[in-house]
Amino acid sequence: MTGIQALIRFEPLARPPEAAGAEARLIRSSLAGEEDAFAALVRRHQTRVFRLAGRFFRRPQDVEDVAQDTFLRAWRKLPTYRAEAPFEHWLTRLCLRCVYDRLRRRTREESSAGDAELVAPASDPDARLEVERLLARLSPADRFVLTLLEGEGWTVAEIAQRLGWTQTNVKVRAHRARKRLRRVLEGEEKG
Amino acid sequence: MIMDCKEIRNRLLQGGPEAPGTDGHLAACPRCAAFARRLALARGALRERGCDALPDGGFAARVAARLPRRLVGGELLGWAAVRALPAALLLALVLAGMAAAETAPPDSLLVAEPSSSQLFAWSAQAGEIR
Repeated sequence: MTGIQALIRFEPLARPPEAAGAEARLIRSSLAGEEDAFAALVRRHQTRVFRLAGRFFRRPQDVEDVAQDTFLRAWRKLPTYRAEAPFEHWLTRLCLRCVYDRLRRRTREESSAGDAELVAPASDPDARLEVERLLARLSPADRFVLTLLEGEGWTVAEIAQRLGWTQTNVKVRAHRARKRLRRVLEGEEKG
Repeated sequence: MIMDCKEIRNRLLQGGPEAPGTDGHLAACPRCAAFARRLALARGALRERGCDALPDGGFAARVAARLPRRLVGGELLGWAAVRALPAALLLALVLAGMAAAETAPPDSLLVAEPSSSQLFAWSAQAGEIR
């Protein structure tokens, strides 16, 4: 399990009851309109949200923007939060949706501009750059699903649970994304 | 059973580099072996994509500065009343329109002045009756 997986896994965390109680108080105060309480919630969860958003974007500004969007959305939707699941799970779902929305909004030109900042690792830089160039041909939606499947190693069921999508929806998206990945990788043979 | 390239690649895509039954084919097929290498690199890239940005000390303050004000209690009721005002005005207009439509216009209550031909016809009828 990678560090990120451990960070955003959905099993209940072994958090002391007093910490959970403090969080519940912060949520109640935030609902009552206390911005300081919400800022405290932000400070509690900001690192987790940055790390998750950082899986999908290379530019730190993109990560900051998505993290801000996530917390602004959390503020707006907080009245809909039911404490049946931990707050961080709810926040993870919001963050993934913000990531997905941002990836979809990005134009092809922006993606191309983003490719210019690719940095190859020291080991076999040519091969890595080549693969990065190939991955850049995938749509943002495909890269999103592939990052969750291949990068995070999540199952279809886990993705469905964390995003609030149906498993059928995830399966269809995964199938399409893998098909396009295959096409992109095979395209190199012909070229 | 010898699997073809298509099936091997499907297995690689679904099952990862350790997909069962692929070793023999990959050893004999350089094109599929190259595909498997590219796929492994792509998976590695997907695992490593992104950046290590972390929030600085001012992040929470920047979020707080962008928060729209949350309305609570009486404010919420007041805001609801303001939001309902246009609908109430519209309803009042509609009701006034309906009331006006159901009331007969003053002109319709007046008897139209008879024309000279009507007067002539009536006087002729009066003569016949006598």
